[in-house]
Amino acid sequence: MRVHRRPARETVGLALAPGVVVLLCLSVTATGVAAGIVGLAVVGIGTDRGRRNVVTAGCGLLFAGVLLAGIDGAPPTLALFAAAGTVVTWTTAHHAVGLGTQLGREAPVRRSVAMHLAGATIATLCAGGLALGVFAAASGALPPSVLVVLLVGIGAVVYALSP
Amino acid sequence: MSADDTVPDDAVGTDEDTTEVPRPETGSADGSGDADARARTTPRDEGDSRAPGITDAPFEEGAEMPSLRDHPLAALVGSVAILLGLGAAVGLDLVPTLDNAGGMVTTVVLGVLLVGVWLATRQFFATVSQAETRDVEYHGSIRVPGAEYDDLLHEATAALGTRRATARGELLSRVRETAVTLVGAADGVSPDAARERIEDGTWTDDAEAAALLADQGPTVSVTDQIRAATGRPSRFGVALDRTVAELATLVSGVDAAAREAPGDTRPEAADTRAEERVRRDRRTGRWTGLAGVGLLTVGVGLYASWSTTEPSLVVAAAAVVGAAGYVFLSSAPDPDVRVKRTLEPAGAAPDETVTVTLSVTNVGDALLPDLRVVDGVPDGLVVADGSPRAASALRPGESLTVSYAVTAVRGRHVFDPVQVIARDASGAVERERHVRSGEPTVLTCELELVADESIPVHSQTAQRVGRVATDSGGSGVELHSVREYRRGDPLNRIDWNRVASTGEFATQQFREEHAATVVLLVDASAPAHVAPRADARSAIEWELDAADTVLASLITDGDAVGLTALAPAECWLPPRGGKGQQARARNLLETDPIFDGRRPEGDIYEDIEARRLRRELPADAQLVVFSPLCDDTVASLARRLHAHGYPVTVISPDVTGSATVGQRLATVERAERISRLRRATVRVVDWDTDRPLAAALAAAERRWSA
Repeated sequence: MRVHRRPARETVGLALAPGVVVLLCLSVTATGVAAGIVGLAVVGIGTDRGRRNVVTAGCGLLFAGVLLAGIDGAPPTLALFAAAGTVVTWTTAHHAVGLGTQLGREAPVRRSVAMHLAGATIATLCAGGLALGVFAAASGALPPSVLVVLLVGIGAVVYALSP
Repeated sequence: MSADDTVPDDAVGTDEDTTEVPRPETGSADGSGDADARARTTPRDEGDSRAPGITDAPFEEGAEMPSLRDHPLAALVGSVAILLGLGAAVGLDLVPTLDNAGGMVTTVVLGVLLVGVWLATRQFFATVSQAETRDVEYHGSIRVPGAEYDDLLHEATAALGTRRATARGELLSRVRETAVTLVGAADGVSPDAARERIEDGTWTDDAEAAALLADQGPTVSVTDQIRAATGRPSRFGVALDRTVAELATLVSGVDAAAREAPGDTRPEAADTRAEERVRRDRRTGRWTGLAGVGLLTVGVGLYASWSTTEPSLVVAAAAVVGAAGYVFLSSAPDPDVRVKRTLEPAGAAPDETVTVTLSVTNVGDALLPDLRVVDGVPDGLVVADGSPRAASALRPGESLTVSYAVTAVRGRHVFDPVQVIARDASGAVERERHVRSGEPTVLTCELELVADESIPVHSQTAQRVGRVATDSGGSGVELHSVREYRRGDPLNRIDWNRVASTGEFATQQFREEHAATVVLLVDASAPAHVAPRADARSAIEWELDAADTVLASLITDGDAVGLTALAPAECWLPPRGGKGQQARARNLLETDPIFDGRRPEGDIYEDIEARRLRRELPADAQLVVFSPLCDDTVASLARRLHAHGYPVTVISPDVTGSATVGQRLATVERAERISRLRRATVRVVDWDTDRPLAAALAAAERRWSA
């Protein structure tokens, strides 16, 4: 009997599931999906080995895929799902690594991981859905002055939120 | 076989907690009523008074939930600006048109991108802080012999700066010390001459080994460090390995070529750092950098949506910022849980499997979205199957059940508090608690009864002293003399005939028949808590098995047997004969905290122990020492007592391994100690624990009679 301080295989699968959704959303652009596939593979390896930095690097690639797809003109709904999926993959993978470090590979943890995954999915989709609604109601491209106000506002809020 | 450990009721009240230890409110209260009858429980007594208490950590700065109140101005300005912007986007005329807005957008976007990248990269360098959990699955007190050498070797290759050279020097000086003794004994020369031979390298034909000890061996280079990082042995390690193999040829009883494969399932050592149990709240910091990613997306997205038609990335950015908001919206409730533990069966014989079922119930009002528990498996027990850990989400009133199996080991094992780690849904805040079960859970496991058949040890112990009818008067059968009555003489030895005839009191003295007086000395010092692997049976368990066997056979033979231990705490049972003595000695072995398998805190000192033993031992006593001989103190103490006229026999379970260089070095050192003892005419039984003790004794007897 040995404690393997690595995430259980099952939780690795759970963490990668939203990443697969991201790949599906990214499939509208070739470069985006290529970056996404490599990124997801890296995330998988990082999660299985319990290496947080590898997980983050993989998610960075996945996110680069999302940015590329967005610049290439992916529809807002797909971009929303892709971004939300990336964040959920990232946080679930980190959750799995943390569980692996504290509890090891053999401990039953499925419910905790599922709970975390569900919470993060709801939070990201709600915020994204709100923005989607606003921009669906918006007419055409934004005037520059509105952009400046939005950027300054978002910058201030993000600074205030920064832990 | 099991004994009921119930303590009389009146003890329950008086033995209540030594309450300088604050306990969490949870779990301590009224859980006793429903405690399972099978879990034999006692109030906490001396058995776990050594268990670390639970202390309150001062709440860490910022351990409360992150809050918008940290930066109220920025939050206010930002929120207003976003609302204005969103309103304008939907078509309301809230934002005045700016001159040169295009240039401003570019500037602001660039600024936002830069800040975003900077914040996002912080994720890479951020350390996530979370509660550490101990390797409760393993025997907590066990070290592997030679592990300290392996640590030094690792440091000598992998550490940075001067520590590398220091470790290398320390390791070499220890090996050289062993080599001096071995070469001196093998070649029959003085230590100085041996040292000379080692310095000029003539002690061995192996050039590499000779060079290493002459301090001309390989130094640690960059390539060595790369090799160390990839898990391959360094050149220094290889040279050390060859040196140890050469040393092994100088001493008998070591197979220089033996190599155990260090496999994945054979842990070398457990992580047994004894962290104190602290009630602590902390920020995990796992979301560090997410805000930066949000900013980055916003920057790219707004810029893109300005030039193209679709605001895809702005929507995507909202999802990311939403995740950041999630961190602030979720809350981490203080876990209010009750813990119950049952054992099935409640008591067991050594090596039997006991199933432990731990149930953790959320008795608070709040949902615990992320609850992790690690059961406090007692130090002395090893988990055989399943995991004593679990994580789940618990609604109020819901329970989490953890079931696992432990292998019973002799002794009385009090379960430690359960480590409970509760996080909020996002994982930003973590609360660590240690919760005791309503009543302490105790697993009691007694020594197996030894069949009273003759054990070969008696023939050698009895042979030496035997039953000797002495020339001194005392109690016995044959009349020796009559002397004047002294206060305190037993009534049955008063010569009543004389009292009747003369009125004078006199005491009859009989010829004393001395049975052999044997004192068993069990090494329970810190270095005796060793095993070839972290999950293997420790030397102290083998020692107690052997002590029990020897005790039974000596008592059956009518010898007087005493018991003492080499430990920082005191343990002395004066030699006596009879079944009662056997029961007393056995009770000590089973229940004395000295033998509970936990590594003691203090050290033992040879001088103090030698003085104590010479004060306590009867002049005619002989000693049977039980020790793995993994350090010099016991070996040298045995030689000293032997020289003082107490014939010494050492029964030494061999618990050294051969998987690593350090372990092989420890094996060589132990063989050297044995051969030095034998040269001092101390009898040593080198017991390979894969075979029964009787076989080792028989082999040793043949050696002694030869």
